[in-house]
Amino acid sequence: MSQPILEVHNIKKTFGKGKYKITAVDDVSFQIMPGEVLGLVGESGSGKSTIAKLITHLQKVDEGNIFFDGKDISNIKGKACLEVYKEMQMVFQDPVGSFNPRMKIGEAIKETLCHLCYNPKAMSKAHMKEAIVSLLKQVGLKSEYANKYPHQLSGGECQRAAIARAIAVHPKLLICDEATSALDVSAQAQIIELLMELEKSLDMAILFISHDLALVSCICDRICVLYKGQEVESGETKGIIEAPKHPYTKKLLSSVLQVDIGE
Amino acid sequence: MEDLLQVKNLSVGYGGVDIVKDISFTIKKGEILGIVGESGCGKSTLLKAILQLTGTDVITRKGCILFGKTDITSCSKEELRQLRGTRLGVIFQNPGASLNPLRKIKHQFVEAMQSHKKIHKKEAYKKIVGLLECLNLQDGERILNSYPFQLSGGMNQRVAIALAMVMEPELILADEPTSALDVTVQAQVVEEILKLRQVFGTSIMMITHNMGVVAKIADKIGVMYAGRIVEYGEKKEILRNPTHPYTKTLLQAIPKMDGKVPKGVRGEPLSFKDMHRGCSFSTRCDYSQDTCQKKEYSITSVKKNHWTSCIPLSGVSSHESTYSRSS
Repeated sequence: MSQPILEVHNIKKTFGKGKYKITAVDDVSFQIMPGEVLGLVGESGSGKSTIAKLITHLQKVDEGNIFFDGKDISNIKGKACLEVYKEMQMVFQDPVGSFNPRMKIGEAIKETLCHLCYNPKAMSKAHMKEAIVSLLKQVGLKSEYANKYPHQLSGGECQRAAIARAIAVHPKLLICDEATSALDVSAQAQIIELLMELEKSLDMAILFISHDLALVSCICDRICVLYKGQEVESGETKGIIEAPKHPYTKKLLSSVLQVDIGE
Repeated sequence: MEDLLQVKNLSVGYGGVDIVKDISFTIKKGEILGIVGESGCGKSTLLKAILQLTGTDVITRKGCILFGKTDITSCSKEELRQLRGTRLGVIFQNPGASLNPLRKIKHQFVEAMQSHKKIHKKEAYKKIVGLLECLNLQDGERILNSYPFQLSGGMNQRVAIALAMVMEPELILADEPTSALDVTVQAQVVEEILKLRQVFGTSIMMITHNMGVVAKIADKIGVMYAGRIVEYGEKKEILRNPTHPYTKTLLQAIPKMDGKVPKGVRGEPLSFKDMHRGCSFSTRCDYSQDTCQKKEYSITSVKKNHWTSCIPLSGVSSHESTYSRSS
């Protein structure tokens, strides 16, 4: 089998000092194969987002190693980071908050393109515009959205734009940190459909972080359950849903509110 | 059972645009009504209208809201002040923002209680601790002495629920009370709201976008789309035999454990400014017919406990369904 796109080895992260010390991530390991969707589930405060921040270098790991595409990226800095961002992108929870409010959507995407993909001097304006429009089209937005500000978009539309910005570099790995939690159920379903389409057409791996086990079970190949910074259970989706072993997984499963029509 | 809240042909708007259009429903004593719909369909505007939160520019254009025997739309400011808090309680979506960040929880409780009733502080604290215990917050004393930022989202929401319940109102209006919480806490809060109904017999109007929550908690469901209630009826009936395509898509959008990817409604809802003639869902509807673009059906009864505004799919021919909902 091919080499995993992302390998996380026994990473640890603590915040604070002395009696305020909190171990947010405690000895977590997992790997993602190319084109695979891994779900990271747990309640608020279980360390899901910290893991995403560690992988994307928004925070430094205390212990352990992160390998991306075979390279150790746990302690890289500066330009090496940029190289990694060309192949790894992130979609955040709050879609409106992840855009600069004073920049139009098109400009925000252009920024990513200039920064990570193309040499802006070598590219004509028309060409750049074309690239932006085709990206917007890919996520199901019309070309006029390029000239709108983030606050003019609904939550679902804005999340689409954030996805457009993330896939601009053709990433091998997309990290979605609670990408649908701020959206209502119908918009959530639209975004999930879009992500699944993109995963197939662009052949990228997705690390999908969420607190909703039902949602994760619909789309992920494998699931990793976190509790208080520790990995309590992981494995194939089917195995986890049908035969959960850890009591916490069972509790998460029972919290899912299902529409029960029979009776 | 007697009717507690009766909303009749209510139309509400901001500026020149009607947001809530011609809505009627009733809530009986001890009943839970769930209003479901996606963001921007007018759910929260409806709630603001019932509370007559005038600072928010919500203008009631038509219809009346009968709470018990008083018409809320014609109440004076002082009458409204007495009504809110004692007989009508509210729970907002974002618990952190609905509590005052600068004051300890206990001061906020005492303020809420003393503005309606002469009550000694110590007596008030006793009552609050009991209420918090009822909501599974054992550590009442500590919570009373905390600031909102020291508590987690779930705890804050429970405090907000207790704050709404403290005067034992007859009706609680809950605006997406569980949407900001994660799934585990959401399930707990839903359980506790159900428990409160059992203990105090409170009626609840719950606004949410999550059919899962409504399926768990409600007795009756009203599905809202573009400012209208498009389907209304008893929970079991609506969940088993949904007739309106929008209700069906809402049901499909919930993530289920069967491994299928949830299906979204295609397109975005129309903006309230460019509403056209005919059924407002017709632009996104899979079953849309020619007649749908021309005529908007008003909500009519298909069964004893089931009303829908999608006449073409309900199996009732349109001239038969002249019986419109009276209660």
